[in-house]
Amino acid sequence: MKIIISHTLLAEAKKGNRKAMQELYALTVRCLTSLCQRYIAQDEDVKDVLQDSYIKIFRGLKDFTPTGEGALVSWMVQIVTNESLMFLRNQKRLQYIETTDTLPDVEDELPVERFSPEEIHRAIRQLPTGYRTVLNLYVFEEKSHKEIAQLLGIKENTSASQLNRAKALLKKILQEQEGGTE
Amino acid sequence: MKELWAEKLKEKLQGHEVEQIPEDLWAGIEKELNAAEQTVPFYKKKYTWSAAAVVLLLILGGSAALYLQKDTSKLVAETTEILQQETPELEIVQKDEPVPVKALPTQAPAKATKKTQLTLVQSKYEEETAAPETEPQEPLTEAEPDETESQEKENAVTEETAPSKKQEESHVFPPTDNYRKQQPTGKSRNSKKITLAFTASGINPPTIDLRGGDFDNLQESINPGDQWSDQMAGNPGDKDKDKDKDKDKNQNQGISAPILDKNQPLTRAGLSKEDPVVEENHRRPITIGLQVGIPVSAKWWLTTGLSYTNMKSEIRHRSGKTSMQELHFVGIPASLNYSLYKDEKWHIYAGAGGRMDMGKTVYFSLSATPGIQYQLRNGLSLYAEPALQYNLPSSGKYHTYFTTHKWMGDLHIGLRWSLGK
Repeated sequence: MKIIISHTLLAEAKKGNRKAMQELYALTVRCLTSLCQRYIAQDEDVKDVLQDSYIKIFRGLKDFTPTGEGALVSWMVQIVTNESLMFLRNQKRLQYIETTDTLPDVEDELPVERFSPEEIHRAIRQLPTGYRTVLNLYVFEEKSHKEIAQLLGIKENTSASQLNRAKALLKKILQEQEGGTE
Repeated sequence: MKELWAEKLKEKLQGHEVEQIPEDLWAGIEKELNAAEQTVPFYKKKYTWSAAAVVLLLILGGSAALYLQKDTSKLVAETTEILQQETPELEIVQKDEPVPVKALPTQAPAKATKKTQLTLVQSKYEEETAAPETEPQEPLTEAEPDETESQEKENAVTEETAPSKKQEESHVFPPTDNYRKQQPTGKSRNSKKITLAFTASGINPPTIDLRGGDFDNLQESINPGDQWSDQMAGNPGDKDKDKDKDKDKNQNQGISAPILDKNQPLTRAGLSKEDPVVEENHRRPITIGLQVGIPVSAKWWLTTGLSYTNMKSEIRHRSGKTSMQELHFVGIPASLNYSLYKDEKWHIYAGAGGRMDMGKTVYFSLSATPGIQYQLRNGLSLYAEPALQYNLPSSGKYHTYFTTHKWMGDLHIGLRWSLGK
């Protein structure tokens, strides 16, 4: 679903109009909650990170200058992503399994089309934190393994292996969900 | 270019929204926003820099005013003792007592009348080489019983050069033979009678204050060409700018500018019998500091660090020489503060504490202060504290503003690094 935020709403929110801010929150909170839940598994933690993110958004709104359509939402997504990563770093929940084992051979075609967004979202949240983080950065933030390695302070091949394992585990979870529902 | 599966996955979750959002999320956000708004009531951001500039100007202006302000201290007891020992003929006369003045004007200068409690009449000095029989003595008062027509002539000249002579006379008591004292260094060839009218401030007899309007009397009672003037004429090019400034200032105040002798500390040892100190001017000190603020609780916090205090004193000797005493102190302050108002930039608080100042001597002081702090960046703040300070008694040998003022107003300014939020 595409979020449409009018210039009037943005202008009022920038002025500090509380109703406009609440409207902006209502328009974006479900999308940003989905994003935050992809990074953070615990609901209480999601709430804390979202609250901090919105405070930052509203405080920084008066200095925000939209550069085009969708710029505001992209900016808000970036803030939530950064806050989520910061939370994970502070909680030291980024644990990676360093192995030299032969990686499982995952078929290139992850059958995502067979699953609904909710099923995929739920499956991603079941991944271990390390797998989930690398998957999010690689797929949704479109980061390279080099960038992920720099961002998370890991080796490039660790990022690659984490992604490969995340992909395999995601496929397995989705297939189990599919089998369970049949 | 990402793999196909990644493209499909991203596309699948593009714009995905969850059905359930965290409970009371907006309530928590609004609470935080309200708390933030409550801390920004008295300024808007666009006024922040102008407000900061105003505060900075006030601090700098106040500092300059305090620094330039002089305080004439009371003379120490030792000085008077020396004066009395050295000039036993010096009398301390209650002004209320009848004095042998032939003609006292009915109207004395208001300033002098208000301030004067005691009047000291210092003798006329006569040079050893002078011949009183051949050279006319300056008739500063009409009470000289042995003055003759020549006195009247000089009196007329004096009146030309000193229009307010009549006023001056109201504070000049007639010298008698008991007041005569021979001049130790006879530079002037003329025999001069210099009548000095010293007015004392304060109740205690040992203290002498040569402040304010009394300087006018002092100047007018000194003839051009006397010892002080000769000294000035003989040393015109040896003085630095400060001395010239001081000279000009004194001249403006009506005093023949004396010779400055820098770096002569005001110590007990400096109160020599030959040239005792007759006046101390202690400039109000200013303290600058580097501090760290340590939060104790939400409202209470401690400050400590290092401070620097500069104390300057001008010292006038009886011969007219002036020396400058400058002392430097490094202090360790410590105080407990209570936050009255705080936002992202401004912090207003009240505190109490103490400070130990270490230099050539050690001073301890207690202070209570309101304070204002402006955050520059990342916990680094500029602070200003107009403090009410109590200086504990010191056994040090130096006379400074601290030793002459138990209670004083002080301005503490500096930089502070605040720990925590």
